Amino acid sequence: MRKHIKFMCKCMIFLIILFICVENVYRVIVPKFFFSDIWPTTLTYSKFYEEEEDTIDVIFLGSSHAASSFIPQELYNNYGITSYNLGCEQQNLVTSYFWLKEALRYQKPKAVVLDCYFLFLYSGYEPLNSAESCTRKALDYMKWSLVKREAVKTICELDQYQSLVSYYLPNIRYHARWMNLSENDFFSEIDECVEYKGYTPLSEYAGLEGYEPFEADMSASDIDMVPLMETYLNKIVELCKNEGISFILTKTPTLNVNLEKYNTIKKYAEEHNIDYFDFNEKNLYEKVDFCFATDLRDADHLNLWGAKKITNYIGRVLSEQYDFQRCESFQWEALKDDYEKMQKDCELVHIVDIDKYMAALQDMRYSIFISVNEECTQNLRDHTIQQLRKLGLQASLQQEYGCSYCAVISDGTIIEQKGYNSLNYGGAIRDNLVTYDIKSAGNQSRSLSSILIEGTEYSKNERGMNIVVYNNDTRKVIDSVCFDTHERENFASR
Amino acid sequence: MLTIGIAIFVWFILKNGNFLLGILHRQPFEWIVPLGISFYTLQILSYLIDIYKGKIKAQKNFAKYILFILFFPQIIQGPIPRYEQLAEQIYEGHLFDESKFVKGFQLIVWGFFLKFMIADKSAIVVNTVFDSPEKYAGCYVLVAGILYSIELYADFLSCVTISQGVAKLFGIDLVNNFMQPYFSTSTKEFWRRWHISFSEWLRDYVYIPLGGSRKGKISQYSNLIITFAVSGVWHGSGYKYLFWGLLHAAYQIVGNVTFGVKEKIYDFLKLSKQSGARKMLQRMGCFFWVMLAWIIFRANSLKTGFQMIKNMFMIHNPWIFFNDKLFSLGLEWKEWGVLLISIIILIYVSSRRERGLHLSEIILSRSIYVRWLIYISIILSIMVFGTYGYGFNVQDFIYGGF
Repeated sequence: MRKHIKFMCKCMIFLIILFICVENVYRVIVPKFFFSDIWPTTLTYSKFYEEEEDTIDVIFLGSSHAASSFIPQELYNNYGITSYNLGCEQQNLVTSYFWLKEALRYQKPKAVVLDCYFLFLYSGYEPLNSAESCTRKALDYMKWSLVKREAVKTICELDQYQSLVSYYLPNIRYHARWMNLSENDFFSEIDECVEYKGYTPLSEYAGLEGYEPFEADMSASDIDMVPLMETYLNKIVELCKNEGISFILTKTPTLNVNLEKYNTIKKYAEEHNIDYFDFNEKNLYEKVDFCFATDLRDADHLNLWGAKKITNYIGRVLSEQYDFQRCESFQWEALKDDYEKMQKDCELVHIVDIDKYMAALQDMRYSIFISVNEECTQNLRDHTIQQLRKLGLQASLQQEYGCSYCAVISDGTIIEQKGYNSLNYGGAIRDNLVTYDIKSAGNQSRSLSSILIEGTEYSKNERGMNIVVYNNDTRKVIDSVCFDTHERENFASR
Repeated sequence: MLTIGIAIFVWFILKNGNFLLGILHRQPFEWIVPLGISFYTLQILSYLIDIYKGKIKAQKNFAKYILFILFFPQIIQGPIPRYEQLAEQIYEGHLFDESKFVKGFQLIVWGFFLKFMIADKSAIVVNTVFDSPEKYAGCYVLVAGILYSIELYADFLSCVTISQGVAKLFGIDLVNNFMQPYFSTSTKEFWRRWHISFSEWLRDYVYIPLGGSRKGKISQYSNLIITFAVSGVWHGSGYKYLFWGLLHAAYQIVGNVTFGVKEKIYDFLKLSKQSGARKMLQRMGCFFWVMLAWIIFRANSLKTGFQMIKNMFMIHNPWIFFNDKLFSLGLEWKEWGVLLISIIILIYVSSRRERGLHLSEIILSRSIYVRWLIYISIILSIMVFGTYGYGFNVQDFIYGGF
């Protein structure tokens, strides 16, 4: 008998060790989405749990439209309102509902703001109106609780293609992920990541000209919501009502809504006595001074400047109509500096003046790669040289017509090469975690610029000074530009 | 005799009824064929015949009889046990046996390794090629043929190994169904090593009762043809299975007839019976002939099978081994790497077993740390590198369909 008990104990220990190993494998193979991807869903949800309990007054929900439109830090800086953006890529109403339920386990918000893009048909062949992978992204990092169990059960009942077991044993869903593992998968220090309380900053201008907002006309026809989405909108409304939370519907500016959708939501809002703000409707569009051409990043998503306009309007509404008082919180105070840096990153990609650009690059967060193609010296001016000196670059480029030149600046280390033959240099940044290869050839050799980071080419490979900027904090390339310092105007090309 | 007739009739109608209706141009019936029917039909037949011959006594206890027929680990794919091999083991009580439990666990892990790392990974390439025979020819068919031979073996072996493992957890030993069949030097030997319980069943209940090799060569050959025809029909309804069976009979007859010639060639080449090169040549030859038969077996129809074999020989595209074409068959290069490493592990384990060395014994002789490290490594490897789960249609055990 003692022998059998000993054997059973050994089995138990073996199973515990196996369980620990399996758990660690799960940590690696479940996909993670940080700022190196467009939508940092993993950070959004993981960081939510780090917020002190009962400190968030407003919760934003919705798809990527919401994630890129509501900036909690902007809301705090200007209105003293503490908020968190729980929006994510293709967040359908089912996911919104369960994330709201989950949020209520930790926070007591006074208001919930929902972007209602997913009330209407988005993906007809998906039972949940959005991609299965996006639903997984949103749920994988929800902590296990009765809420998650209910969410998983409901989602798998609604979507027969999803497997209930795979939520408990993620290897069933992610069995092929071992072929695509990256640094993020082995990176366990999420605490060290910068994050903007769920907001996803986008910096590009869509430049979409000729689009106009529609004028409200309630006599026009409306369009049906997806029944499942409507059901869960009702549940969200009910939940907010039961918890005494103010509920606000919004539709952020996008080229993919129309008067019919507006009318449907407007009617719903009136029936349920809910405020509805559609920034695609002319009055509101003009009130926030929105511009489709410069405030959109693409047809659907706002860039930083568009998001600021929408956030500030919501802030004004919350302060004036919902009686939100200015408060102070160390959690939002601590993020002010990071928010400033993020804005600087977004602005960087729009700087076209080489001197201003070089000045903006004087930031230890950046790893800078410079490679000359063909010729860069003819109109390289003294003040630009001075900016290059401030970056720590010492090579004399004036009077060196047609020379090859490359430089790397990272973590206080500066590597420079200059010559008339082709130059080729390889190395690594961020404690040897990220490799690069840089090539330069002036017109004295074969005119070429190449900047490979982790095997991906980023150089514009145009005449002049090709510059690639890698942000060490967000672990991604944030800009690639070429200044043609051969020409008098020093044109920037992106 | 009546009960034997009923058992055969029920099995034949369930398995081949629709095929016969198809020949008569009638609509097929949509009926549910019980899982593993081919296996326990043979089990019942051997039980009844042995009683008839007086080799065993009939089991009067119905519950015990049912337990023997429906012993769950073996019901899907066998092995096909004889009453005297299994009955006593499952009727007598078994105290918990630690060493058997651990060996059972080892077998189950090994079974999953074979299934997810080899069989189901190979199946992706095999299905791609065999499902589009008009698209793939030449070396594609060769690769698919080789991989199907491996897939079928790994798949069948995995199921039987898991069955043996589960039975061993209860202290019950099921018979071995395979003895490294692809190490055979002739197709005759292949059938002594492949699906042993079925081969022995055919030998004892078909071939020998027909007269075996006792009544001269002509009689022996006709007995072989009948036996392998039965084997073909047992595997499934359709001409291709019948042809596959007959092809194996032809292999054996030709092998027998040309035995003298082959010996002279080996003498001329100075390859003695113990020579490693001769064994290797014979093994490769045997594998090749068996693989050709498997192509017929796997193809969508007999005609398609012929066409694929013809295309394999007639169309020359060896460059697919040098460019990236093989990676367009459903497996990325990393998965090919995992598959090849897994096949090498299978060959290594098989070669050790061929020399009488059982890896499980070697593992058991190591310290607990090494043993656990091996077990956990294999389980995690299967979990991470195996082929299963979302986006992949899990392959049913192939022999479970027979």
